[in-house]
Amino acid sequence: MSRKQDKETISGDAKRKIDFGSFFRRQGLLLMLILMIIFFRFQSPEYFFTFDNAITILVGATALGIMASAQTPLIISGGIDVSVGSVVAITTVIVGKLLATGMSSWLVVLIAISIGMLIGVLNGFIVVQLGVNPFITTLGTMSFFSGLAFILSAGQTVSIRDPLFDWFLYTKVFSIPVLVIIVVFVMALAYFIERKTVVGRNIFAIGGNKEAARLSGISTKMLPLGLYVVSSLSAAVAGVVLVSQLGSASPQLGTSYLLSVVTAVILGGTSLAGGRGSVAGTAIAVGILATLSNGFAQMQLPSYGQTTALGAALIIAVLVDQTSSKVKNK
Amino acid sequence: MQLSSISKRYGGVQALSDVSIHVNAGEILCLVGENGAGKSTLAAVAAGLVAPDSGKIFVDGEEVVLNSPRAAEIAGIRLASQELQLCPELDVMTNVLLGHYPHKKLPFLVDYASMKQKAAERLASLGLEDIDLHQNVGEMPVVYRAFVQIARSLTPGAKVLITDEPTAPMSDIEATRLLKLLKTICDQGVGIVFVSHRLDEVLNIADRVVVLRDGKLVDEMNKNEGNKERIVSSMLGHASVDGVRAGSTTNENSEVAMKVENLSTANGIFDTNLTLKFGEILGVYGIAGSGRDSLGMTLFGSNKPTSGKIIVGGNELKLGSIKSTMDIGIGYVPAERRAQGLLLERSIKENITLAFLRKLSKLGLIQKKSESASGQLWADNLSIKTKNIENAVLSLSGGNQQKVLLSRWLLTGCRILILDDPTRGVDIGSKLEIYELLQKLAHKEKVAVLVISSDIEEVLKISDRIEVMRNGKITLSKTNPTQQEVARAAYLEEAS
Repeated sequence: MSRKQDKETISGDAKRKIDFGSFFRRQGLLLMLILMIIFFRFQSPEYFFTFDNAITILVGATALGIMASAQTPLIISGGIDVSVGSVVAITTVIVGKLLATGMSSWLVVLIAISIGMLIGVLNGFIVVQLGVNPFITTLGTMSFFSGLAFILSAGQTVSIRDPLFDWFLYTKVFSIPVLVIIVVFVMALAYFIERKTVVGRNIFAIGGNKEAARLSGISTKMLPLGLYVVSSLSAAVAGVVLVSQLGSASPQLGTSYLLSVVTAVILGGTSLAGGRGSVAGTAIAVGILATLSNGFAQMQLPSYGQTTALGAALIIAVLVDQTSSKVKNK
Repeated sequence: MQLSSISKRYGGVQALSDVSIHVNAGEILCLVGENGAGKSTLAAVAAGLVAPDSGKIFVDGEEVVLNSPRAAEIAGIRLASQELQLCPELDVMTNVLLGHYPHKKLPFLVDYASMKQKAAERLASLGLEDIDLHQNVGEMPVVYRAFVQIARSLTPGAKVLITDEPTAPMSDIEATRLLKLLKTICDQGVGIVFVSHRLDEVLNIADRVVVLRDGKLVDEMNKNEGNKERIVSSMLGHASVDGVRAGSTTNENSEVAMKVENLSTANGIFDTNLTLKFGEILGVYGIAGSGRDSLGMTLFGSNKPTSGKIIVGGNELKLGSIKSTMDIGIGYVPAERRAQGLLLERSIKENITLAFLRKLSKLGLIQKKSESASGQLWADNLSIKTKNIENAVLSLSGGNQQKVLLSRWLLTGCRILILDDPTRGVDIGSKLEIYELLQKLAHKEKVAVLVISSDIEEVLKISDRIEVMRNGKITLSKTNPTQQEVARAAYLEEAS
């Protein structure tokens, strides 16, 4: 093929190919989710496919969904935050401690969330202002704050009975729990910001080519800093959600979220290199993770099997993505 | 070594056509020419990095096929390229022997004692005893790395050493030392091909000088016949540049758009003064390292000057702030289109609206219709060749990508436009379109256009006025200078 023809094919088809790539990726994920649902449906015919179970799955996905919605734009911008698990831990411990003093539960929630945000400010400051690699920074703060959570709580689990937290857990609107409404709202908001706003566009620009963004007058400091704050904020909110779901506060609560948040985002098609990704993909990936955990529980399989399955799915999904982007670049 | 009738074509550009050079053992051959004359391509062909379309290569009278760097190395050809190929985290001795470590009886055990000795011998034979063998290369001053690079390339069996502009980042003292080093190597019987922009050096060291222009060998002279005037005139040729300059409407009374006073920076600009008027194209020319390369970024507020003032519209501009620069109506098209300008995976539309998105939105919400309309309008205005502005910018040719960058700033309605090498890597057709566009902008719409360029013909062709930089200073400031005047100022003259 001559060079000229080659060029024409590329310019004509590039858009279609790129769209096809992400479409295929998106549909591939959706297909994965549907296959999983069918599989579990036959494994557990009388229960899995019920409304109640669907709600259970969604409630189970609340904390992960909230954190992944905030992590997605952060990773698109070229950053990453692996400290969210420790923010969950420290938030729950603070909630437990403060409630024990008899403080108003609204105030407790407010304080816990503010502390979470402060950790985000710290992460953001170290990464953006001091220029430390984001992975290393948040690895450090993760270790620091999860240790602090253990010190503060002396490793104890405190059980919590409080009207506000019970309200969170039990209130339903049209038989849909308020927690589900919250996570759907958060995801919708993240999707809206990603697709419709200047901020969303700038996040892609910074992640795609930071220098080009800077030379186009986009603030390449304030926006990333804000994303770290939002990520920690989401973890603090997730902490409060978990306290109400479990009725207890423990420094161990966050450990399971150490990597599952980042996993959900990557599985959803967001590139760790930045510049590419979507909240919609993340939402499906969160659905996959939650369904997997629900299905495994019903089949009474060991929960370790879940992480094995997830690991395999993650690598396959990323391979599919890389192959399609190679095709695209040819 | 002998290169015979080498030709190489890159797309529509004939980088080399029928070039033959030879270098004898113990001889220094200097290769000079303008940017894009084919020097680097020729060096790459000799080093096995690029396969020529036609032509033969002989070493010691025998024909060799250099289809890989490895093949070139076996043939005895060594390249010390412009981009240093060293491992910054490793020390000097490891770098010098990179890939050729001496080993103990067991082949996987590195013999550090003998390595140290060998590295020391290599450096000593080159008169570089003062370099610390144990220092990490990344911690050395950049100029010393060039010495290490050369020491590294002189593995046993080296017959020809090609060095591509090693002295570009060096001061005179360091450059002198490097030249001495090359002489030492040459005295050991190695043939040297030395590529440089600095004519003083070339005349100082060369046994023979070869001048390339537009991929052709245009002049060859022996040491005693060479002089600067002859080299410069061969480099430039006598091809007259058709003046498209007609149409300039500025005069003494034209309004000043930007006045730069005593500007100095940490990266190579010293005490520079410039005046840019509305309705003109001011061209700034200079070779690499002349300060020309950092001027645009500095004026745009990307880095903060150490001293000086920039006055726009009667007010002093806040220095080192892109935001204030943009707010006052200055746009900037950077030199590195891909690295500094484009979001390659995003659409043409998004790339066009990037700097103006805030104005195309209400309360932070992008107004889809006005965004698409603006994108389409400018894609049409600049006749960007695409079926759909939603296509990724990656799908466009270099010239059209450059037009996307231009429309990004035209959309903002900026009154002052600074462009760094606006036609680098752009095909000839788009080049002319861009020139026409810039002239229309300046002469019809009275925008102040500053074109900073490494292409002398470009500057001569489109500028109403020309400033030439050398060693961080302006050496020439003139309306309609001749090519000779510009070249003299860029290559020869010291600022008074």
